Order: sequence, then structure tokens, then C-alpha cells
Amino acid sequence: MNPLVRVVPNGTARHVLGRVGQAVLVLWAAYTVAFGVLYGLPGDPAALIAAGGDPANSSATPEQVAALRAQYGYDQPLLVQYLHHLGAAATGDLGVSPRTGPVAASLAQALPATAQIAALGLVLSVVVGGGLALLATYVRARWARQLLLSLPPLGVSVPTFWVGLLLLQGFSFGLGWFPAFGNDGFSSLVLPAVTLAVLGSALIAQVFARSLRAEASAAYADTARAKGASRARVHLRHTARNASLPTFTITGVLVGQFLAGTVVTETVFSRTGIGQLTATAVGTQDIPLALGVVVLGATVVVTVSLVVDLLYPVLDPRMRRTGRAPRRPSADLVAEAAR
Amino acid sequence: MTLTTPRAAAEHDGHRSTPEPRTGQDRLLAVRGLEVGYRRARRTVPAVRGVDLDVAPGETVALVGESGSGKSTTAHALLGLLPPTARVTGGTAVLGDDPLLPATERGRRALLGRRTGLVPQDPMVGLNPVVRVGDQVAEVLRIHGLADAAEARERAVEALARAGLDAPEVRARQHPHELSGGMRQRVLIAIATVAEPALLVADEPTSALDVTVQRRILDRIAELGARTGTGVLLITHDLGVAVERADRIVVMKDGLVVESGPARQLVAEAEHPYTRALLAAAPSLTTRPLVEARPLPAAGASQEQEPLLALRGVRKEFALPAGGPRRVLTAVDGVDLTLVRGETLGLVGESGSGKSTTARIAARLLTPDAGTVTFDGEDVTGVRGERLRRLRRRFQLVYQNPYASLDPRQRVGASIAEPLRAFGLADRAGRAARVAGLLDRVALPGEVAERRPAELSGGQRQRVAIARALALQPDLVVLDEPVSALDVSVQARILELLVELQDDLGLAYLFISHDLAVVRQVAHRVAVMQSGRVVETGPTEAVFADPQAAYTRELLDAIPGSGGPAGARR
Repeated sequence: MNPLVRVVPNGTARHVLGRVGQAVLVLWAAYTVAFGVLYGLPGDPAALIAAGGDPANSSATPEQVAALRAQYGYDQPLLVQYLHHLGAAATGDLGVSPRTGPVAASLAQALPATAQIAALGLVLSVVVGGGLALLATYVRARWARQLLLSLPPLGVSVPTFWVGLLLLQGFSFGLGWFPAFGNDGFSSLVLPAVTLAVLGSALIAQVFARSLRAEASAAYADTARAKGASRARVHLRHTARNASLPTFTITGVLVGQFLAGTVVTETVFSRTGIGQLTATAVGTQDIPLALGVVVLGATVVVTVSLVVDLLYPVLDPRMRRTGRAPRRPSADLVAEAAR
Repeated sequence: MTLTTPRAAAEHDGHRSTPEPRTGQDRLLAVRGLEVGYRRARRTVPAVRGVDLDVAPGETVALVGESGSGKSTTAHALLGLLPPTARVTGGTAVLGDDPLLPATERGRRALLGRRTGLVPQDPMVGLNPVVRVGDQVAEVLRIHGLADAAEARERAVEALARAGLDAPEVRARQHPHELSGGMRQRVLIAIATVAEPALLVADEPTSALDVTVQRRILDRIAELGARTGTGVLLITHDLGVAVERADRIVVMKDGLVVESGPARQLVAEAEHPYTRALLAAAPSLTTRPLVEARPLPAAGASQEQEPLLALRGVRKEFALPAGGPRRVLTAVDGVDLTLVRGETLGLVGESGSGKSTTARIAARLLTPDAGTVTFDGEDVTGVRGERLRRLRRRFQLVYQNPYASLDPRQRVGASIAEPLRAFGLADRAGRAARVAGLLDRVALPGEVAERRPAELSGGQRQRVAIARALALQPDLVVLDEPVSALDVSVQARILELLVELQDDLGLAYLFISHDLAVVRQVAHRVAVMQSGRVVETGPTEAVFADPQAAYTRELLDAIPGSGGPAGARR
């Protein structure tokens, strides 16, 4: 330990608390922006409700609309409405949709279906993407390597709905292996999850393969080779562990994306779930429901990135001491101080 | 042991003669006609062109040359560590009775780590950052099935202790980032020696380390070699290190062996002009100060003359990143320095001594937490904004790494003209003329202005960086390790250029270096820093001849060939 370094107390606990505080702040900001956009939009939500979503054909009297306006609090100033809803949201009450009832209950009902395909999609993404990257950087034959490395960019660039339709065409209508739509049983999960995994595994493979190639030329890999380690050992024990660190971050992003944004996939496969709820909320201009979906999405993304952040030190011992990447005032000074 | 290598064969046009036959027992490594080529755009560019090399058991052979000489490529080829773009195109290598080249991958792998050990160049990146160092040492034994897991762990701790790490049980459980550069190099030595190999290949094992650490590491390698009768192949660019450490020296240039022989004989009777040039340029061996030839700008001037730059009681702290325990690093702790016009002050110290922070404060890139900075009689400690910008014209910086300090996309001429443009000096034509003049000043041809940095050598790039620093006609140039990234012969020419520029333009230099030998060549006065404080300051010759501080003496002893404890070995 460098004698020049004074230890000023406190440690991990404060880091964790600080990080949780940041997460709450992000959540609040997401809620506020979404509220501002949804409630600040021109248009009369009460008239919409009265018309059942189609103001052109409204038969409601102005008195009925006014009553609805008072019932949902739309006659209050925006700030009052905001504080009221924020306070309720903080206790888990996301308001009531005039069409579907309590928003929290709708979300809770839709979440399991989405979580199922998200989980399966994530497992497939990690296994297929990770395996592809490991294989592509291990094979010696140039053509095979080039071929394998060209798959991820392909997977990233094909549109999700097209992949979904192709899978439906092939495996449901053609071979009849899996149901084309619906929410019943494991077999109905497979095609939507595969659709998600095409994008997910491609992203993971891209990031992982790039890191693997960079790490393979690192000096410590040469040290391992000079020990007499086999190629496979260098690949799996040394470079893969280091290369998995950036991949871990990408995987966290995927979790958020899968849980919060499966609109296209759920629509293609006619599944109920968060994505379908999102489509409904937007289509019917259901403001409380739309806000609820935004809050759920923000919560998932913020929570996942919080977990990723807090898990990082477990994977990378360099993060343990300081709790974050050592790149503040000067990396040299930090390195010197750590001696 | 055969010490007489046929010198006559070491002619300029390639060294192809068959070395003297050796008997079976005293030959450990025998390399014959090794050829390595790099694939570049469908052509194969030769990097090693027929190298013969022998190492006997217990013998230390130094392979010396500048970057591009093929010395590292030779070592990497032997250990099968060539990058994918390189290929062995000819020759053989035998380790004892086992073929090393050509060999099957499996055959070579069985030798690597068990019969050979590698101490790589840069300890900061040579260890796997996510694996405990004890496990990294034990892995060698596990790969070759020399021990079970528990025994391997024990022997790893023993190897760490032998490599000179204190508290090896604790160290074994730590990760590389928790260890200093010197400690990491010891871990790498433990990895290389844990299986008690017959041949140790040390590839510039100390060039990334401070001098005092460097000496201890080289001592340790020598001890371990002597203990087990291990042959050592020492790759180095520093002939001073080679002379001090090796039994025999092999000098390489452009992929060929130009000269080889017993170390002391080679120094005394070097025949090849290149060897003589290397000897002349090796800073650790030269005693000729470049600034001796001219009078000091008014002897004892620093006391009488108004100083150009004065630091008084300067102090700087850095908060280390939050999250973990909050810590504060005192990088500079009450430093006083003065510098007069036309003078060079050498600021020496090891990494972490605070010399770079001091330089950054002197150049007003950092504001000190306490103390004052006076430039040309004006207190500039808290100067900011437009005044600071105007002040910037008068002091300039030249950085250590000329590969990183020039914008790779900008043409050299534009880089040099940038300060002129920034201060709105001269129009386009005037700037072009100034650039041409500056390039001429640093002895580069004018057409260099149209090239990009990637097309220039390290020495040429550093000349460009110097030209850029001179563009605004500064009074003070802060040189932060300006030659440490360069080959020795290039180093010497850059130092000569700096001295010449100083003479002509009356520049003051604040010259930062960890290399005392370099400082001795160019500095009028020296300040030695340790742990954020100046421990000794005085005229260069006085400090070198009669160092007062214990730390200065330690630094001086550590210079290879200084005749200090290590030098007294032979």
C-alpha cells in the first residue's frame, strides 16, 4: 500500500446506496417525462372516454363529459394531477384505465406471458450467441471463421417481424411443429422466443466475438501459451473470461429490451402480454395504461442495469476495490496509488 | 562452454557460417538458420534472416538490437508465440534433445512452460486480470500434470517466494491489479520458473520498470539461473544491461546477427560499426554530458538571476475514485523548484514520485492546492481564462509518446501549424513558411509536412512534436520523458537536437525522466523526487559525483554499468 494514500472511511454500502438512489432518480425522471407528454398533449381525454375511443362518433352530452372530467380529475391543474398520480404511483397504484380497469392489475396479468418468452429468448440468445462467438474465434480455417463471423451482422439487420413471419410460415403452417399463435403451453413459446433470440444472439455474438479477438492478442494470452496451455485452454480459461465482461453489459440491455419491448413479436404471434397491452394503450389513446407501460418498462430497465452494475465486481476483481471503472482523474495515478 | 564465437564470420553481409561444433552436454539451445517472415499485402517481408544462436546450460546470452532488429521475433518464434501474420520460413531449433523448430504443436506445447520459461516484456499486461496470481503460477504445473491441485498451490507459493515476493501466501490469493509493476514481474518470473525449466527466455524483462526495481529483477533472474543451471536468453535493447548481465552477447540488426562474442571482449574490441554505434549511444555507458561543452548560462545563475519559472511550496492532492474506501493521494507535497532562462533542470524520480504532476503544475495544466507558481516574475498560480491562454504561448509541452501525441488523421504540417492557427498568428502562406522553417530547425526534410504521422518513425515523430512545441517561440519547454519511447541511437540524436535548440534559442527546459543517464547528458541542474518531495537538488555533476540523499545513491547504483553493487558482480 502506498504510504501516500490516506484512507478516508466508508465503502461498499455507500456505493450500493448511491447506485440505488441513482436508479430511483432515473425512474422518477422517466415517469415525469412520460406524464408530461401524455397528459400535456392537446385533446380532451374525457371526451375520448365518453366516446369509447372514437370522438367523431360521440353521442355524449357536454354534461356527461364534464362529469367524467371531474371523475378522473382532468379538471384539476396539471401540476395537481401530476402530484396526485406520482404519489399514488409511488405506492404501487398506477391509476385506473377507463377501458381496462386498474392499470397495475392489467400489467400484472400480462407480465407472466411476456416474461416467459423473454426468459426463453434470453437463454437462447446467450447460448447460441456465446457459442457462435466462441466457435467463430476458435476455428482455424479462414473461410469457416469468415462465414461464422458474418452471421451476427446478418441477424442484427433482418427485421424482427420478417423473421417471425418466416418462422410461422416454415414451422407452423409448413411443418406444423408449433402453434401459430396463442398462449397455451411451452410449444407456443418456442417460435416467439426464437424470433427474439435471432436479434439477441446476434448482438451477443457480435460483442463477444469482438472482445474475444481483442483479448486473444493480449499479452496475458501469450503468457498462458508460454506455459504450454492448449489453444482451447487459452481460449476458454483465459480470454473468454475477460471477453465476457462487456458481453455481460449487453446481456443486461437485452433483458430490459425483451421484457419491455416485445410489441412486434407479440403482435406477429397474436400473444397476450406487455407488448400487446402497449399496442392497445397506444391504439385507444388510453393514457393511464400507456403511462403504466412506460413505468413498467423504465422499472425493468433501471432494475436490470442496477443489478448488472452491482454484479460487475463479482466478475471483475479490478472493480472490487473502487466499485467502478478506474478512469477518473488519471488512471496512472490510481494505478500508482494502488501499489 | 564455448566463449569464442567466430568473429570473422560476423560480417555485415549476413552471418551464415556454421558455428563451432559443440558437444552434446554443453549445448542447451541450438538455433540454426532461423528465418521468420511477416505477411504484408500478399508479400512476405523477412524479419529474421538466418540466425544462429547457442545457449549452454547455466549460460546467459544477451540478444541485443534496436526495435525492428528481429530480436523479439527470434525469441517468439522459438516459443511458438508469433502473431498470426508471421511465419517461420526456415531453420531449425533444438532444446536439449527435443526439437523446438520445426515441431508439432503438441510436441512444442509439451516443452513450453516445463522445459522453457518466458518472462515477458510488460508486467502490467502480462497477467490475466481476473485470475488470482497463485492460480496463474500453479497452472503451469497443472497443465503439464506435474502436481495435483493442492501440491501445485503449495509449489506456486514457494515459487513466488523464490521470485522475491514477500508474504507469498497472501500474494498468491491476490489479483494482479493489487500488485505493483515490480511485484507483477516477480509473479511472471515465478510462472516462468515454477517448473524449473532448462531455458529461461527474458524478453526485455525490465524495460517497463523503474531502475531500482529493474536491478532487483535482473539479480533475481541471475540467481535463479545460477541455482538450477538454467540457461538464460536475455532479449534487450540496452547494451549496458547486456554487458553487465550476460556471458555472451549477440548483436542483431535487420534480422541478421552482426556480431557476437563474450560480453567484455565485445565491449573492448567491437568490430562491427553498428555494435560500436550501439555502444556509443547506450546512455548507461556514456559519460559524455552533452551540455558540458558550453558554459552554464552564468554560473550559479539560479541564485542571482531572476528565475523564469519558480514553484514555491507546491502541493497537489487527488481524490481517488469514490465507491470503495475514500482515499486521497498526495502526489506533490511542498515542492520548491526554480529554472532560469537557457537552463535545463532535470527532474528525476521513479513512477509515483510526483514528477509528472509537478511538470503539469509547472505548465499550468493543473492548479496546485497550495503554493505558488511564478513565471517571469508574475504570479500565475490562479491565472485562468484568456490570460492563461496568452500565457500558454510561452510554455509548451513535449510528451513521452510520439505515437500518441500527434493526431493520426492530420498531416504533419497541419499539426505543427495548429498552435499558430489557434493564436491567429500568420496567414495561410505565412504559416506554411513557418512550418517549413520549423521542420528545417528540427532537421526534417520539408516534404514531411505533407505526410501523416503513421508514415514517420518514432524519432521523426518526436522531432515533429518538438517542432510543434517551438511554433509559438516559447520561453519554457516541459519535456516529459521525451526520449524514453525511442531506440538508443535515436535517443542520442534527439538529445543532441534539444541541446542545439537550447543553445540557439535560449530555451529553458524542464526535463522529466526516470533515466538518470539521460538526465546526466542534458541537464545543468538536477532535482530528485521521491514520494512527492524533492529530496535532493544541485548541479548535475555534483549530484552524480557526490549524491547526498540515500535515495539518490540508490538510483545511481541501479544504473546498469554504474559500478554499483550489481555492477561489481563481475
